[in-house]
This record gives sequence, C-alpha cells and structure tokens, in this order.
Amino acid sequence: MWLNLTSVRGPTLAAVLGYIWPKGDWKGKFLICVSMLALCFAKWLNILVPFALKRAVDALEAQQSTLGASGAAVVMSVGGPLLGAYVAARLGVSLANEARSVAFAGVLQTAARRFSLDLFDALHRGDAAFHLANPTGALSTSFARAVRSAESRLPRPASPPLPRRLLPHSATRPFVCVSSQVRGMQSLLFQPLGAAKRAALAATELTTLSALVLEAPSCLRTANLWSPNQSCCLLSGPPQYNPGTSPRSRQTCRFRGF
Amino acid sequence: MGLSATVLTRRFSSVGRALTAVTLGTFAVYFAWTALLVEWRIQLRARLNALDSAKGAYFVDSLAGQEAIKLYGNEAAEEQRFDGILRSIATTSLRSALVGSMLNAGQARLLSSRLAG
Repeated sequence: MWLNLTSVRGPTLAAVLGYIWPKGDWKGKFLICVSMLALCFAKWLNILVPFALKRAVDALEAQQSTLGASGAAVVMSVGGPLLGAYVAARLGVSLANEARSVAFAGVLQTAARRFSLDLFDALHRGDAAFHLANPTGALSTSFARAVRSAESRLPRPASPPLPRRLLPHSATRPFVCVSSQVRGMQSLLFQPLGAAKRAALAATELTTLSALVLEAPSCLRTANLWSPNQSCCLLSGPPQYNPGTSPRSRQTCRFRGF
Repeated sequence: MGLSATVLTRRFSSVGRALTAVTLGTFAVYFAWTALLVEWRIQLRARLNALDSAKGAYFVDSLAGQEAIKLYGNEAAEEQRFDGILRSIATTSLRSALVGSMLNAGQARLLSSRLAG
C-alpha cells in the first residue's frame, strides 16, 4: 500500500472513522467507550502496582525491626492485606487489559463486516463491462486483500507509554532512584525523540488508513495490473477509456459506497 | 520444576512441604486450564477457517453468476446471504478472542492468587 499525502481529505477521514464510530450504532459506541475506560483504568492500576509492593515490603520490614525475627504467621498477619492489595492490583491490570481487548474485538469485527459488505455491494453494482474487465478470481483475491488490510489498519487502542514527566515527582522517585543520573540523562535525551517518533508513526498510520479507503476502489480495479489502458470505473456508469491517465490516478473513479 | 520443588522442600523444612504442594498444585491447575482453553480455541479456529473458505467460495460463485443475478434483480438476497456468513465469522472470531482473553486472565488470576496464598 503506497502513501499519497495529498490524498488525505476530510471526507476520506470521515469515511474511515465512520467504520469505527458508526452512526446510529449505539452498541458499538458503547463498546468503544468501555474499551477506552478499561484502557485508562489499566494504566492507572499499572502505576499503582509498584507502590503497593513498596508499601507491603515497608510494612513487613517495620514489623520485623520492631518484633525482631518473628514467625511467618505474624509477618503474614501484618503484611498479608497489603500483599493482597498488591496482588489485586496486578490482577486488575490484566483483567482490565483483557476487557479492553475483548470490547474492542467486537468493534473491529463489526467494522470489518461492514467494510466487506460494502465492497461486495459495490462489486454487485458494477456493470457488465466492469465484470468483463475484471475476472472473478482476481476480484476475489483483491477483495480478500482489501478486507485483510482494512482489518489490520483499523485503529485500535494501544496504551501509549506514559512520559515520565507527566507523573508527579513522588511517583517518579522510586524509579529514578534505581539508577539515578544515567537514567535521567537518557530520558531527557530520548523522550522528545520518542515522542516525535510516536507522533510520526501515528501520522503515518492515519495517512495509510485514509489512503486505504481511497485505494479500495483501485484495489478492486485489478485490471490496471495487467492492462493499464483499460481503466473502467467501479460505479460511474459506462467504462471510461482514458489512455492518457496513469494506472494509479484515481480522479476518474468515485466510489459511491463511501 | 522438580529441582525447585526439591529445593523448596529441603531448604524450608517447616513450611517447605506446604510451599511445594502449593507450587505443584499451581502448575497442575495452570497446565489443565491452558490445555482446556487452547483445545477450545483450536476448535473455534477450525470453524473460522471453514467459514472463511465458505465466504471465499460464496464470493466467487456469486460474482461468477453475476449476470443471472442482475437479470433477476437478486442482489439484495445475495447480499443477505453473504452477510449471514460474515455475521457468523464475526461471532466466531469474537468468541475466539474471548477464549484467548479468558486464557490470559485465568493464568494471571492463578499466578496472582498463588503469589498471595
């Protein structure tokens, strides 16, 4: 899938997002909200986990210094609840992550189903010339490819790595203490780089995604692959014969499904 | 595993047996849970593959008979049948994702609870 930066336009983006945030599909929207909430919850719990462990260890140590070397039972009676909190936090992280992925799997499946149904519909609305120009086997192959790439390109909630500077100072201390100066220098150096890289990646992903929807019709016009001169359009009535246009120009083709 | 069990038993003689039992029990339950869910997921995967071939077959057949379909104006019915296949694919793969999540969550729960207990 090649990138064309000039092809990013408002309606295209809206068409892409229309699959993820469909109009009138309240269940899908609800699932997206649930998965976003689960994402935030998992992130929050994930920050809490090391502190829970720290508190439990501190309590155990305080207990040991006051009582001296005591039996396991005494230690467990004090540190038990705190240790339990640590374990519960760890468990909560994984549960929230699973909830996020399951909730979003439903959204992805619905989006993929709607996408392939739209493509199927568009193919059936193509006229005889279109079907003469495009053998069914080639259409089937590119249909499968289009749906697969749509599935892989749909945005999914990944928890972004939290920049350390966003956390309060008290939160960063236990981590920074581990390896003090080197880490600090490293993070100072690399964090802007990392943020820039992530932003660039997100922009690329978004561009690819919108290119995909523009590409979907031309992905289906596989005739271009072996006969560049015969560019007949998917839905715009009689086939247009444009010997001058390059096989990749999409100006003549409007895909009414989007 | 046997090594760690031996070390646990020898090193902590008083609570060692309990620790060893807990460790071995955790491993056994973990193994059983993983085997069960992976087996379930394999079945779902096989069904998903069959549905995927059905989808491809239906797609090709439908487009090959495109002239007849257009002649009788049957596009809506074709789409409905295709949507039926797509719907069951979506349901099956959602169930597969659910089973995978259950596997992960169960493993995490098991390890966490044994860490506490």
